[in-house]
Amino acid sequence: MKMNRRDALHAGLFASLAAVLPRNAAAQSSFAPRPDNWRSFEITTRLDLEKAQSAAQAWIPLPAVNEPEWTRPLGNSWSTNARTAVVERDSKYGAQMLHLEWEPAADPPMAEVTSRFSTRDRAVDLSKFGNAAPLSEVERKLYTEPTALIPTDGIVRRTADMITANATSELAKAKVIYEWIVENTFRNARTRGCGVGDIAAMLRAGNLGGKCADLNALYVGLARAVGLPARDVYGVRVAPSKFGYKSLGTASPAVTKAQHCRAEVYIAGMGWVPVDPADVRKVVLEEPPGNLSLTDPKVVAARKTLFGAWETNWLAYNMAHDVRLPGSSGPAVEFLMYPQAEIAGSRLDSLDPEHFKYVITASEVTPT
Amino acid sequence: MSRFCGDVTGNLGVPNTSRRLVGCLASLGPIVLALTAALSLAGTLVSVALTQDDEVGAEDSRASALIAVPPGTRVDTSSFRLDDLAGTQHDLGKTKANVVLVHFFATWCEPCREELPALQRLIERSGAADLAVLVVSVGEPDDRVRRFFASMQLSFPVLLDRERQVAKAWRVETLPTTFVLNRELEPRLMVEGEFAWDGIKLEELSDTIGLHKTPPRKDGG
Repeated sequence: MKMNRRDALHAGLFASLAAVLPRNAAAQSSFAPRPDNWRSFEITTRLDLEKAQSAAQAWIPLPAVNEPEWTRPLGNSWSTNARTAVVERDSKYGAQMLHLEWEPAADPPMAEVTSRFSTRDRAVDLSKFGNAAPLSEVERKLYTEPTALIPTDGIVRRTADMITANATSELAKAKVIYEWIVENTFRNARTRGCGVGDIAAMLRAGNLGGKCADLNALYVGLARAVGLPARDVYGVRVAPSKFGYKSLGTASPAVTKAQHCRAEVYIAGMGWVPVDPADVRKVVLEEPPGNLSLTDPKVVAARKTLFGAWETNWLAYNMAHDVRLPGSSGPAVEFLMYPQAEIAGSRLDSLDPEHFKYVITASEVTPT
Repeated sequence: MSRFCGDVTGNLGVPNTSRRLVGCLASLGPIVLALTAALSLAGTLVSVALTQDDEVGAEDSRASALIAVPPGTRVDTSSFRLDDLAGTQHDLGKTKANVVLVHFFATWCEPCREELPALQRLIERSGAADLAVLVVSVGEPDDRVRRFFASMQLSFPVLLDRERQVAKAWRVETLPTTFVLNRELEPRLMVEGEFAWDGIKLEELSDTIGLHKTPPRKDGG
């Protein structure tokens, strides 16, 4: 295979990653999510659009991930002055949203949508293979195919092949891709929102900075490129981390900008394995005092944990890509993690909640 | 329709890949010949970029590969009709200038934020009759692009490729990407990644794309 300069860079970094992990650092911190008690949360999205002479519509994501082992939607309610409010479901991925429509020159459009869900932490035993149900052919195809911004050929495939060249099992491939992401990417504080996840552009530009929608999408794309089913899970953080990671939890009930997406990779016998290399890079950049090294105990613990486990102080909305918004003639959204709206057919900036505008709050409602 | 080669060889051992210039070849064109031809054309731009780096005391990190497009290669201008931020449709086929820059960008793209003002400075020192700049927002909502430009004083149109259709047709694979077209709207150069436009004079661009060897365009009327 022909290798260009950037490929060589990738290969070199890949080769060096094993050398930087201290042997006993993981024991210096306890970051150990376990699937024990279920917790319940309530999340409310308040939408207030400017009064306009034209028709308006909005789409507010609803919890749609229902996995008996770790998350269950508990229903939605809303109040609004919209002419119509309908729960819509994306036919391909099952993402759900409340679709609201307002007449022209109506009162300032508003809606308040409340969703409840229960969740518990996840941890997969990576030391043994169980009897997890195999994926259907339809599921395998869905979670290995490319999306608009996640191609699985070209530079993505070449990079994935290099990363996994010495990995002989599905689990080894999944793990080495995870380590490569941690080693070679960085969280860029200037990235708006969670990023967009244009992974081929990232690789071609040699700029592997971004946020969760970039870095975890890169994980998903690299995994899919070598045939591993993988998927992004789009959601929002709803509570502080009980393990003391300030960077991995909320600081208040206001979670308007706390969106976070994660990733899963499917390993035969184990089922869907939760991963989150983007959060490792978040710990590196943001965990006080900030700009930690990869050998910092907090980083080492996060790195060890976030291949195989998630702390679920977080709501999973959906796993959808390239979502067409019903009733809109505008472009599909890369993913549905933010409220969306249009006035006179012009899409508002979902990454600008102050002008949009919307506010999201969350609280725990676990029965005592 | 002519086709571009997106993943071209010809990187001249440049340490900073984000500043690389790559050439744009017709898919059926003889790559070796194109490379050879390009290297002579490349000299001007590459040397200019290096000169500017030297002036600001930067390390040598911008030298780039450049491959010229074989004469006669055309882009499909017929599908290049995009709205600007005011809703006015722009047709590339009706653009008249000696040099046309088509610049694909996104607001989330960090290098783009610095490159757009540099393009404005380029057009200010070039004169509107000689240079046309079309910047194309790729796959972003109108409102986001509008707010992004609210504080910028730019004299060129900002076009909205909402569905990425033009970017796909032109095989744009990373942002920013800029095509340099001559007045016949033939793509002659391609810059993938950011480029130091402040180090370029329009005359040098014109020379590099062979403008002065091209007979005047017959526009009719």
